[in-house]
Amino acid sequence: MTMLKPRRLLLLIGVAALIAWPRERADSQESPTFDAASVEFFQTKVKPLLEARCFECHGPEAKKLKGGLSLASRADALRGGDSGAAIVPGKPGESLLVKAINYVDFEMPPKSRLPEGEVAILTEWVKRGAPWSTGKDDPARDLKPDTFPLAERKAKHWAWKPIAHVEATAVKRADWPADDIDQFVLAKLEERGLSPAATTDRRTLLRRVYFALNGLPPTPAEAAEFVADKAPTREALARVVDRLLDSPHFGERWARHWLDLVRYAETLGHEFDYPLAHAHQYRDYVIRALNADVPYDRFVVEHVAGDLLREGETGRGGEREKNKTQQSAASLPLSLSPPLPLSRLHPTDGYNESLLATGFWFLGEDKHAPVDAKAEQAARIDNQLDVFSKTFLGLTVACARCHDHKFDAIRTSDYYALAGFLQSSRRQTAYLDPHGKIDAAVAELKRSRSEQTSNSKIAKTRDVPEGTKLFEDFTATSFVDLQHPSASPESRERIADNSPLTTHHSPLPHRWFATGWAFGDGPNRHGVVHSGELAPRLRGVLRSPTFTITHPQILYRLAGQNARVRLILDGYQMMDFSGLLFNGTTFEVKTDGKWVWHRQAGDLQNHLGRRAYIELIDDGDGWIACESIWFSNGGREPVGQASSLSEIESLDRQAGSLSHEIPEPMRAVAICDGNAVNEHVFIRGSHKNLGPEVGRRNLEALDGIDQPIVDHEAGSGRLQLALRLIDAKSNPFVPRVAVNRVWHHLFGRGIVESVDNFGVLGKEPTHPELLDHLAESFVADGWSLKRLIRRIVLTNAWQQSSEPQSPELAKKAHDVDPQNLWLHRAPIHRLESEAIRDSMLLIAGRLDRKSFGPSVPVHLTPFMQGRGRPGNSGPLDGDGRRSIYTSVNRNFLSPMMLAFDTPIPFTTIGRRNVSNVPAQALILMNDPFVLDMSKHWAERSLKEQPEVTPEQRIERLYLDAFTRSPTAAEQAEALAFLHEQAKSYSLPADAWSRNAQVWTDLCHVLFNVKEFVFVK
Amino acid sequence: MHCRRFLTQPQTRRAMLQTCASGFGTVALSSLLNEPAFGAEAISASEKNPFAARMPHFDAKAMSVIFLYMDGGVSQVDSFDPKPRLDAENGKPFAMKIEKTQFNNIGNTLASPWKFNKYGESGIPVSDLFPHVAQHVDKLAVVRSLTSQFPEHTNANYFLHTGNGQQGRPSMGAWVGYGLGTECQDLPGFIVLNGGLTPPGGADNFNSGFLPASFQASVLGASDPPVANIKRMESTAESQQRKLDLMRRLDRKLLEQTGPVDALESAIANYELAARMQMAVPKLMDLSNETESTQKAYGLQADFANTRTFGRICLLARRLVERGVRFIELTCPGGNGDRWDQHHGLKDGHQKNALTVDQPIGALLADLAQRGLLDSTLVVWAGEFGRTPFAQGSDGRDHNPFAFSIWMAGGGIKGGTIYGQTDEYGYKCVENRLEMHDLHATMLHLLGVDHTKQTFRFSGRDMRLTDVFGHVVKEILA
Repeated sequence: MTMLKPRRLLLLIGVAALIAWPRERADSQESPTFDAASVEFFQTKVKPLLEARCFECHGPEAKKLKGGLSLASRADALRGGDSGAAIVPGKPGESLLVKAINYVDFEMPPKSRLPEGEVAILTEWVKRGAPWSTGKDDPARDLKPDTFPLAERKAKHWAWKPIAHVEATAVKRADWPADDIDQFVLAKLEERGLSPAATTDRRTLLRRVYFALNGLPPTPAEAAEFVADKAPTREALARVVDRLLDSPHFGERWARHWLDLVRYAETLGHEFDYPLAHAHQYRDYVIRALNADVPYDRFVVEHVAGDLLREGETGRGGEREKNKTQQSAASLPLSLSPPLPLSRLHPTDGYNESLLATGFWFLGEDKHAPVDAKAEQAARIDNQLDVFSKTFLGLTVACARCHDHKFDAIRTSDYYALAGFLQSSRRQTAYLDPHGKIDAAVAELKRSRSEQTSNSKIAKTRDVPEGTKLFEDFTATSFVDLQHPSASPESRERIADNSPLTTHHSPLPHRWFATGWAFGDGPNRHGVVHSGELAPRLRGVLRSPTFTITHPQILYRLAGQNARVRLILDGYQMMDFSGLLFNGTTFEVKTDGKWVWHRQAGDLQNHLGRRAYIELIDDGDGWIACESIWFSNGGREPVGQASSLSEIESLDRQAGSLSHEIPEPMRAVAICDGNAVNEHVFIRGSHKNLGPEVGRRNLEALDGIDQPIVDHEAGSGRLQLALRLIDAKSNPFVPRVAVNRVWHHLFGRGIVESVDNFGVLGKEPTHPELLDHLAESFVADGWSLKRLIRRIVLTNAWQQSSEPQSPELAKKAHDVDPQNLWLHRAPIHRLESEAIRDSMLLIAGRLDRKSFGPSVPVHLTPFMQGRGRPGNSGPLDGDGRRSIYTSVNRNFLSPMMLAFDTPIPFTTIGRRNVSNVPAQALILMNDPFVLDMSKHWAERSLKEQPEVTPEQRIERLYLDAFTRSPTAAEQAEALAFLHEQAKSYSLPADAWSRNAQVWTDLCHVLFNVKEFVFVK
Repeated sequence: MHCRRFLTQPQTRRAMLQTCASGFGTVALSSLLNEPAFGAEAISASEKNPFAARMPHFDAKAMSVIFLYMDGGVSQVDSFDPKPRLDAENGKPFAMKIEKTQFNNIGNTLASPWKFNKYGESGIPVSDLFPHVAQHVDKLAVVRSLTSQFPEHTNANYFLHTGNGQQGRPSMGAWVGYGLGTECQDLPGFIVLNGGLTPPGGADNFNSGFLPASFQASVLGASDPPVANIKRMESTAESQQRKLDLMRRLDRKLLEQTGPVDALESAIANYELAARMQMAVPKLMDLSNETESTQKAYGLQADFANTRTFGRICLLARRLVERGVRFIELTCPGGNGDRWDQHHGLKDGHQKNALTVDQPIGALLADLAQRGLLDSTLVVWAGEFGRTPFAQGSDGRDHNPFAFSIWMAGGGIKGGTIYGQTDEYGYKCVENRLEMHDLHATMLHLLGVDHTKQTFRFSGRDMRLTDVFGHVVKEILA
């Protein structure tokens, strides 16, 4: 502040005085007195107008005060609403009310502009100092500040209560429970005079557990083995369960559940459905993590802040560690083991796995050419917080974007406290280093480089003054000092039109952020950052701190080849696809070995006042060197000395022999830290109407208002947030929500049915004690999802038959528990679309069990049209890969998946619809894929068992499809059908039994029988 | 198969299935074809038979909606909102403060290339773009003051269709189906007749969002078959019939074993609807029994191919109304420049688009009226936003969400009305500004639905088509 120019300072004081004056008056309840003429003017002209035009929403009788603004009294008007004072007496130009009736900033009345005469009256009134008559008939409305009952709401609603330790109640049928879970369930049943169903038969059980754990049916051989197992069912089942949990298909099945939560897609939707490159790396991460049974608390931390974990295990990665935000987590309560924060490495390829999880932040829609980039960023952050809070907390925090939550203990400030974490973070295409080959090469290069430079003459000669080290440790102090410590008056004159990007006047944060390898340890001894000094082959991105665009142009002093610069405005990254409205924000660097000034102008002038950061990108076999970056009003370039490039080039040649051995890094969409940027409250959700700044922190209702965790300036603080989330002592949501999701997938309904919403508008838990018991033991058991799943499926509750034991019990159950809330039997439910399709592939012998990798393009039918339609259709059968490996194109979703309720990826969907649309029947009846699978199934049967009788073949098909033999009646029906089909094809009586068409017809029918898509 | 207006005693789905329980598999499909409507109980059991007709909140003026979607955004000052001042200041710098636009390539004030004339008793002015529609102005309520919140196509399309600018919300046709079901038991309640262009934002403009998938639109294209999987793959109908018969018999055995399980019963019933659809769609698309004069009136013999395409779907729209389909949306044919989206070449592009839609829409209004269907059919003509009164470049217009013209006709609408007013340039509203939510509230109102009461619990809120906004525009109601 010390450097403020006197004139501006005066202005500020003036404004402050104007604002302060009416407030004091209002607060002291003293109204100024007005002369009779003024009062009459108010009474006869103004008041009738206010009553007619404004009072419906802002009057004493208004049902709901809009925008928090009352115009019922002068004090009310001066105090104003959410957006501040409505009138500044005497200053029409500064009065929101006058602006609003002129449709500037606000548009009031919303339906129609006032006639000019009325606008004139109100303007005149404000100009006269807003005279008001005092009378008993216009009392001020009682506007209470902050009446949000956070503590009360928290105390009232079950979900905020800590996880309790509960003992299972005693039950009458003490022999039934095989686990505490059973006891909790049975207690509820007995309370209602119900009893559980018998354990189901082994075939049904096997089919159930296969679908639940792997999403595929058992083969006839697997079924036969299980049925023949002499061990008690529970023991035999345990063996099967262990095998299924160890199968790679487990991760594929359960990852699909998870992908529903994070609106997983591989394109960005909106108009042209641009690709979201490398998204499949996230999908593969989830599959691997579930298969590896990564503890859920760690899984959460990796999602929120996997980029901020220190590289673990091998000790490699030291090169990059230096540039990472170092967090001191020692003082934080950690339930994680081993001591966090270390990242996990890919089991065979050795790259940083944890980083991949953070891709979830960016799996949403993105929009090119937004006319209002800030509004678009607000929409993106809204979606990110919506997904974040529903997925991990089962809370609808995004409801608090425009106002305090209507029902839950969540304030608007909570929303913006969380939004700050995202303002302080960026989307990056992360570099990963399989097998550590790049790290090794970099170490080798450095070794040889240091030998060379120690032998070279230049290295020891110059001792550059401190001030010129522009990017030292990526810590730019001030460009002014750096650039022209001894500039002559003449040169100052010439650059008067330019002002440096960082100055003492607006002290910009100190940090630049590097990813990859190209930018080495920092700027070279000339104060220049250079991505080609070690080797052109190395990739890397250097990001500036966030700053505000204050000038219409930016000047870059740079050199390079095959490199790029991007200016990211309000997080906008779609300029890679369309330059519209963001012209010039990205440019190629190709200077043919010379230092040049690049002037970035284009649409920049339209983005004044926006938050921005710069990316210097070396993503190919090139390099970029940058000496300084300046703001400009369009004047001439500053006089600058340019470092010689020749020295660097010679070093390049020497390193050349090494550099071509450096492999291409793997890439993934991920988050990375920027500097700390707090968000302001957007009043009524409008980014054009800013309220107070809110510090970054966890929800107030969880951790209180004074949270120390993110008061440092270094980075976003996401890691601290993540660690607070998983503290099960203060935050009961994460474990409860997790175990409830598992329960939901195994029983078809969560203990809390609204799995994504534990708030007041969600459902109450049916078995609250059981929920807490599960959450508590889940945490105690190291947050293992696999052990939780294993435990649940081995209960008697889960192994019940879907049919009550007797008609009497069925009747009773139907009356007492029609929805099966108390689990008096197993639910019957329809399979998910993926399981239906994958089963068909498996049965038809066409399933390719390959895991991971880029997606198979979605098959396009002629009915899938629109902008952004992919150029090529994928294969009809998706190459036989499991459905999770078919690409998810937001605007071109697979019709079969959609018909069977795979959700549209726009927000967290923990509980899919189970709908019933004719499209489902039409697909199973007429879709070429289903016909194709029927044919393969029939042919496979004929090939594998050429000599069996028709009856035996029917039996085998039943075993394939339903894990059971047909009844005699079913056999007869099928045989009769086969005969009729044969006759219609005019096949001789002795020839049809090996005719593929006839059997294809039967296979097709079996796919259409409901038993195929339902699990009992 | 005129399902509507012939409601007989309601029969519940459960009752129907119980009746059939003794011989479900042998019941011919035709026994279901006569079934008029499912019972009122369906109001509380929409999951079981989502298509059952449901009672409106109050007397409905309209039974069906035809939404003529003018993809890309028609220019208000070239269609229904004449502005002489544009002629006077043509080529001069635009006099009002200009907001940011999609392309930010601001040109000068641009006069309309078309003349306006007054038509009908009401004397509503219509430009020369729409000579056929102009003959029906006394049936129209022209709204000149609709606004959007988005100047970009995709968000504006989502906003127009779903009441929200982001992907994933239910389309208004889905809301109508959710609220009212359909009176046609062999076609879905929400049908999009695709003239060729899928709007920016894609299928999500027509989706059911968080509502059950039952309510999403079925898109009928101009292709044959018009919709995926509607055509049997078997060589003969008998062959498919035998398959379905076997399936039913095997399904019955399962049902006998499990007892009455809703999900199973519904899935079984679902095949009946699918089979009926498979029969009904080819009949619907077969226009051979329409008279020569009807076909001619709709433009099926027009010289311009796009007129023939749009004429065909307008005629199909009438046939769907006759069949009791609740919500029918028509999209525009391609090849007329870039939809109505004339960022340049306004004259040529708008002329071709108008030539495409004008005659068929005129014929549709006349045909509906003549058959007595217009009183119970709400026809809505609208794009996602309007266009700027100043030029983009020299001869185009950019997106304008601040004011644009639409019209409504038929069921419950006061014909010959003009509602709302823009400034002298047609840039922004100055009187009776409407928001998209108001349009939706009014449409629902005419269908007998209180927009504040039609809710669906999702994401911790009782969601509405109109969010927390929306007022019924009483002034345009008959």
